[in-house]
This record gives sequence, C-alpha cells and structure tokens, in this order.
Amino acid sequence: MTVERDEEQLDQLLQSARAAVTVPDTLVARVLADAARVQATMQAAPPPPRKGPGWLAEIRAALGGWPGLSGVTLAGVAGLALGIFAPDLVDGLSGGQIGVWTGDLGSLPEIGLLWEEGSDV
Amino acid sequence: MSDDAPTYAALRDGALMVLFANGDPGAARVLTARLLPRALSHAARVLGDRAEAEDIAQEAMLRLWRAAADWAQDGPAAPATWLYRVVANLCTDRLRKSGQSTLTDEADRHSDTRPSVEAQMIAGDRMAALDAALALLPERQRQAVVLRHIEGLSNPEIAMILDLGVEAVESLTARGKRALSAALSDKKEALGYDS
Repeated sequence: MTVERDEEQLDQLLQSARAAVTVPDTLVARVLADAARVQATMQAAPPPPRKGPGWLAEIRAALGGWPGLSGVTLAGVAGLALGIFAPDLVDGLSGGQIGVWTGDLGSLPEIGLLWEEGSDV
Repeated sequence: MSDDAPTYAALRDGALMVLFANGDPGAARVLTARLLPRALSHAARVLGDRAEAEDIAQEAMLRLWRAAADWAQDGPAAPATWLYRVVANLCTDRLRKSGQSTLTDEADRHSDTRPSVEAQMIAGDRMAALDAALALLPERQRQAVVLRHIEGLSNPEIAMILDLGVEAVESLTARGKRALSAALSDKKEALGYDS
C-alpha cells in the first residue's frame, strides 16, 4: 500500500468520525432547560441603573417643573421691563427707598438717558 | 418553531445570540441544533468518554447562554469558535484532573515505543480504533487533530481556539496525523481497509 493510500484511508476515517456523533435527546433537553433557565434570569434581571438627572433638571424640578420655571422667568422679565421703562413707578412703589440707596440717581439713570431723543450720549 | 424556521435559518449564530438575550425562545433551539453536535463531537473525540463528553458539552452550552447577555453580534469571535474554545479548555481541565494530560510533544516523538492500540480497539470498529489512536496523542496535538481533521476548522480558527500561533497549529496537526497513521497502520485489515 502506498503512503498516499494510507493517507486517503485515514482521511476517510476522520471524515466518518465527523458524522458519527449523534446527540441524544436527553442531552438536548438538558441544554434547552439550561437555556430557558438562563433566559428567564436575564428577563427577570432589573434594567441597568439609569444615569441621574443633570443639575439643570434638578433646578427645574426644584422650581416646580416647567410651569414653575415659566412663572419665574415671566416674573423676572416683567420686573426688568418695569425697571427699565418705568423706574419712577418702581421708586414710588418702594416709598423712595431706591432713591435713598442710589443717592437720587434713580435705579438706572444712565440707561434712561439713552432713550432721550436727540441725545448725543 | 416550524413557522419561524426559515427566518432562523437565514440568521447567523451571532444574531441568534442577540435574539436569545432578548428573550426569543426559538433562538436557543436553533443554536442548540447547530452548535451542540459540534461541542459534543469535539469533546467526545478528545476525551474518549461519551458520558464525560456530554457533561462538557452541556457545560459549554450553559456558558454560551450566560455569555449571550454581553454578546457583541459583530464581535471578533463567532459563537462556534467561542464554544470550541470553551470545550477545549474544559477538556484540558478534565484531562489534567484525571492525569491523562501529562504527555508532552517531546514524548510524542517517541510514540512508536508506546503499546499497540490493538489491545484497546474493538475488532472491526473503526471509531473505537480511531478513539484509541487519538488517546495516544498528547492533549494539545489531539485537540488540533480533532479540530482540523474531524471538525473541519481552518488553522487560523484552531489557533484562536487553542491560543496558539498558526505555525504551531500546522506543526501539531501534521505530527498528529502522522502519529495517527502510524498507530493505525498495523490495524488496516482489522478495520476493513485494503492492506
């Protein structure tokens, strides 16, 4: 017998070994039972912890959420508008206290000058 | 499962792993049908013990299920390659515990002086003769021969599984096959081959 013939027969034997293994049903059942158990554990596991809210979200929540934040913003804008366009009214409502604090310069005297027509400022 | 079989059949093993992790019960059945025979065949040929091979195959599949949660579908290793590696390591551990993994490659070079496999084989049973001859090989060489010539894997795949270089795998498989041929050469008539 030649070496090639030996080689060929060994290859045939090895190839037949590939098909020789049959999987018993009992083993399949055991493996599938393991799979079901692991899968159930995976599904029951709690989801990974979510990242906490950022600092902006915390401030928003402290102010009552978006409605609260809108109210605070609106009040701030209104106060600023009153201060710019009717500083005397604000001074009057404060009982003249603002004039005392600012040395009768008004709350925003320089800005008020900017609105005077024809001003060179 | 029969209604979904065509859908599953088109999916690669990695995609089935992701489906399994997402709770799809059919994915486990398809993966078992595809991979369990390979795991069992690999373990049976390396260990030469069917009952132990079944335990190893089950344990390897269990580890596969547990790995599904973190499985990257497009990761570097295919599930089959990953499973072969687990089986190889489990077989190595089992053989070491039983004291059957003490043979070295150096010892293999003198395998001609080992006892004949004739006493170990059942006359006319080629698979028993093959298992007996495989049992004479050093553990790493046996793993490489089984993966290359029985499981049909490529040398790069075997290198990944056994954590070796490709050249080392080529050397292991070549020497292993020569040793198998030598061990079986006197048994050709008993195995029903032309002499």
